[in-house]
Amino acid sequence: MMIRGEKMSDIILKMNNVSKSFGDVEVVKDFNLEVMMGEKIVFAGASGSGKTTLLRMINYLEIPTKGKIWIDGDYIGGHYDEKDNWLADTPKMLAEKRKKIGMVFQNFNLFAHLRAVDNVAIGPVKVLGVKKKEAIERAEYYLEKVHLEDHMKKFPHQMSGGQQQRVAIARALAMKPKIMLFDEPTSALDPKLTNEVLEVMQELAQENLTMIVVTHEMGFAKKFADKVIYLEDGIVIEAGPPEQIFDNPNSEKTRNFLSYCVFKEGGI
Amino acid sequence: MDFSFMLSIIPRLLKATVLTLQISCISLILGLIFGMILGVIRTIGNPAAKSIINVFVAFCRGTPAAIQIYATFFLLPRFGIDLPIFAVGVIALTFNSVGYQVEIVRGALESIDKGQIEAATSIGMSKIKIMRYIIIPQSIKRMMAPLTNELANLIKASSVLLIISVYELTKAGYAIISASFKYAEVLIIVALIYFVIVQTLCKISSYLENNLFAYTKKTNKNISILN
Repeated sequence: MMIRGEKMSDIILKMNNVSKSFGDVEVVKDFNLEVMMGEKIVFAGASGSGKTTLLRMINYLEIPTKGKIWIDGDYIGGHYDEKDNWLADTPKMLAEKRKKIGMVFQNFNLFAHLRAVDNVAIGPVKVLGVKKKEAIERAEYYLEKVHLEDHMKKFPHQMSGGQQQRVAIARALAMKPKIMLFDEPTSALDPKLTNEVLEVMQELAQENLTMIVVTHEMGFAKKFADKVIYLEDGIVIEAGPPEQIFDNPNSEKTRNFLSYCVFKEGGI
Repeated sequence: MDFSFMLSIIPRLLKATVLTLQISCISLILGLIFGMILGVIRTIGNPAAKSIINVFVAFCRGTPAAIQIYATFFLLPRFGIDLPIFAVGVIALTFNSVGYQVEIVRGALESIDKGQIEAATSIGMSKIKIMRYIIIPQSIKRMMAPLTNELANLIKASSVLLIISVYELTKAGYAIISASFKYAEVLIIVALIYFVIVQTLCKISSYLENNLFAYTKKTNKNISILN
């Protein structure tokens, strides 16, 4: 089911001593992580635990106060010159690096003036320079992949939240990213629509795509993740395979958090 | 009230109305071009550019139309720029309008949901591309109502051009008054013409606003929202 063990030799993401403060409040404290190619990671924790900030720092939507993030050969937000001096990235370099990172947001954030197919095609056309016809074909391919073949011509406001979120997933995939970030992708959805989106994510997990997911859906996390990282107040309380975190947690804090979580049997 | 006189002056006034509309529309369009450029810089430019634009906007909005018109009329020749009176009128009104239009553009650009900007950023779009492909296309609809207001203002402000003898609607009215001394009759007709023009333009604009943009239509008959 999972790709555990396969192709795990290649590290694709490294976060070294990453911290983030908003004013006096330190929301992420000295966070370290190494992610292997194809690995599925889930960040779990209560609201305000810093997991969303952590995810947003990976593609530099949030700028770390401290620490460095390395993705697939490059540091994000900066680089070393020949003399080993650290230089901040220009907006152009940053945009170049972001192409490798797909992101799916809690509120979908589809482009309201574009039909589903154009929402997906616009990135390849305007950012990657793919020919329009080819980009439309690519968009159709990814929309079929997220089971939206019947909704390609719709505008965002004509679709349900679950459909919109699946368009957003297709939009990110169409850039052929090395790594996909999901920021609470189902928090704005009802249980039925949540299931639609989680099913699509579970299908994506079968492919060798690196995925990092922030979610409150612990039942999904249990099935999906290779590694679950439980955070509280910006600190990692416990990290490990889902069997450890969910069935045999080491920390009292983890156990406490899990006691509030609902695990659905059967469904995702 | 001399009704037959009122009717008889309409054709003459309508001729002058054409000039009023030409000056107002050209000023609106020129104002929009500058307003768009300055508005975009005002939104994503560097702090120095933003402050310069702020000062410019304050100056445009803070001085009366009559002064701006006189200034254009008297100052341009001093710099050796001798323009026909029509052009002077257009320049003065454009200057008057551009300050407001910068703010209209900025307001519309800033009203676009920040989440879409983040999404565009995350697929590697540059600020300029985000502006061009995501923000500007969506802000046009939001600019239409305030721009219509601005056009209505311009049409009425163009009446001040009579002080430099531009033969627009109000000036034509005064010319008839000075020959006939029928103040009430002429001014009522002049006011009515302004009223009808502005009302018509507002109706056209709101029709366009509601029908031009497929992506905001509430119902799309071919497609059910439910399926």
